[in-house]
Amino acid sequence: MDIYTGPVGQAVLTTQIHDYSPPIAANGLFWTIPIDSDALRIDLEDGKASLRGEDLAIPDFHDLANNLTNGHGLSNPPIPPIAPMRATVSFDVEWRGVISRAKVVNEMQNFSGDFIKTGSTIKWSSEQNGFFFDSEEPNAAHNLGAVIGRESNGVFFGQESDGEG
Amino acid sequence: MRRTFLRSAASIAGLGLSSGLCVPKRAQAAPDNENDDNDRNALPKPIPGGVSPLGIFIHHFPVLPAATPLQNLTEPSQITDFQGLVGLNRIRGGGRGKGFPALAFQADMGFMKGLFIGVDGKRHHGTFCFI
Repeated sequence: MDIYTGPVGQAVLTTQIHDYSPPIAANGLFWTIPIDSDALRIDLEDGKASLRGEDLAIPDFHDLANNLTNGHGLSNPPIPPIAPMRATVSFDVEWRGVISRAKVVNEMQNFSGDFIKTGSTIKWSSEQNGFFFDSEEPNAAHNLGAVIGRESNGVFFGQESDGEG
Repeated sequence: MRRTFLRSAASIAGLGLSSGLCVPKRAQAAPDNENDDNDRNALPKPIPGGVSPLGIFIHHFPVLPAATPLQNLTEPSQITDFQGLVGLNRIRGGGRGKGFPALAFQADMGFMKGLFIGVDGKRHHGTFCFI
């Protein structure tokens, strides 16, 4: 979840002032953390899902470069090192509005499944020492891409998923 | 929205995430089944593929752009050896912040819920959030 001083619709590194995400795990697992199953609601038949979080302790890495380097900055392009800060984020994300459905088999990336392209919206906020952010109200026109589905990958590639997995 | 918008609380499961900067180095599973005690210590494995923003490889593919056919989908999961439900999106919008009457944001959000084989080589069930 990134914040920029630039105009809405653009995400330019040099205008970024906040970058909230879980740290990248030591094994490379990317920006992923466990959540209570109650935080997630999914209805593939109707093509919708929701994900909610409230006051989650998520660091602010300031910008993508410092996020990916854990606060060490970059030499090219020149991004000064900035240490992560304590912050909390809250969010209410919705996937809804079926655009298309397809069975996808991607042998190169070793996954397959039944997927739904949808619309999506978010309302979110952040809070930390000296700063807060409140997003606009959910706006379906600001979705750049959204997908939900049921899939199998890795050693499960090619196997039909039953139920939620 | 800071104190008002959420209709229901959703919390990170344990792991000392309720306060402080540090979130876990190990993204252990939030078990879906209370009987799956070993699921609490299960660490998923990242997908092998990914992209390299700023020349740095990450185990992640950005969501399929809205105008791209679904058949061209790239891996939406962050976890490999996984079977279950997934979601991913990207939204760019606006908002306001302290000292800034107008700001822009980008949010890439997602989820994974289902069966996975952890780094311990065992099967686990869990629910995960991509932020």
